[in-house]
Amino acid sequence: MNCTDTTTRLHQYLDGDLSAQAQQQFENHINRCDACTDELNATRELRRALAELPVEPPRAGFEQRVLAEVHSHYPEQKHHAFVTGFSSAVAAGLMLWVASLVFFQNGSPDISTVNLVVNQESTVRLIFDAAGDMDQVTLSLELPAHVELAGYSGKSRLNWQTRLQKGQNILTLPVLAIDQGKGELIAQLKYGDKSKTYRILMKTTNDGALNYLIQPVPLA
Amino acid sequence: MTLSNLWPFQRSEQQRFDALLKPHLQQLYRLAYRLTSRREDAEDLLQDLLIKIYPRSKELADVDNLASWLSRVLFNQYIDAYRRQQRSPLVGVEDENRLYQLTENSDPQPDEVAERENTVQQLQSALQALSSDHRIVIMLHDVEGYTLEEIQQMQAIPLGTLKSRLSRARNQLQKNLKKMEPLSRQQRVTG
Repeated sequence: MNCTDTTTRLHQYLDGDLSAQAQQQFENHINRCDACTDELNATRELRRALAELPVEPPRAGFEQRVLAEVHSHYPEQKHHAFVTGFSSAVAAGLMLWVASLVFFQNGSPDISTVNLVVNQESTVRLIFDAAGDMDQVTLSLELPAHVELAGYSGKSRLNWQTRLQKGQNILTLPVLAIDQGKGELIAQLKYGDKSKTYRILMKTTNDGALNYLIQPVPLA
Repeated sequence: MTLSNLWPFQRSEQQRFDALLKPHLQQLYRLAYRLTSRREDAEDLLQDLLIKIYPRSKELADVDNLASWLSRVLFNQYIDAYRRQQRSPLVGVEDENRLYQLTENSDPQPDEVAERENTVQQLQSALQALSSDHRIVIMLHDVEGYTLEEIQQMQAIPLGTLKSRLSRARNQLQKNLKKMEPLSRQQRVTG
């Protein structure tokens, strides 16, 4: 390989696109040619400088601003009445109270693990096993600071009334880890004067994964 | 066995849209900035994209690789909105904020700051002197790190054409740079 062959293959070499044989010939030439070594170093320097070209950050509040602009282009009809009521209840911090008896068919700890990525919506499912139908059960959630329910940004406490049917009842949560961190999601079921609390440890790992472990506590 | 869903809250279309798009906004902004090289234009481009795709928000949830799909749509939006208007995309080379960001991160020595600022300005000028096609392929591949296959999907052109274009773009960029001062201390020594 001569100097012309070598200098025309500088980018291919840096991209790793040369065949094993061509790469060997390229390196043999580089090792004995100072001029081509200089060309290779200069090309490598250029590639590094390109990769480090700075990005001017968007103006403050960019995400909120562009999304608000989209919302203004497509105004929505009023939310479903239930959701509106729910939001009001959360805002007022109300805790509903019902009277009767709750019984869980399966009292053993329900341990599950899921992996999530920070800033990527995922679904976490909690399954409650009930021995019989139960009306007016209050289900409440308290979220750790680094996790939010997708679409409910800024709401760390939620509670609502629901009905447990005999058998498995699934609670599907659209969760979003908004930051690295560690904390508990507290899920509580109240039925009459009985309650059951589940403390769910939610922590993100260095690679953005999030694990949770459900550890029920005895009825209050 | 009964399996009832205890989560009774239906998110609004706006909330679903926000949840889908938020994770991609920063990357989309970077791409928009690389295409336009102006913060205001990049923000406008992304704003236009979001307004354009909002009516299709129900489809977005079913897109396999949403990040790739959004990049492709953003690129097409750029072609439609900017190239047709033949607006010069690489302007504002002397933008102080850009240089501030460059020097803020690594706290280099003053002479190193000056050299890096000079490097950035020369690179921006050399890139600006390229044709639109050449500048875009370098911005996407060598600056932002998109693979040729990703760029191929974005631009819908044959891979061979893209490789040739990248090779020609790099050669032209180096020619443009050789007309200027040496790019760096390294090049001053070797060039």
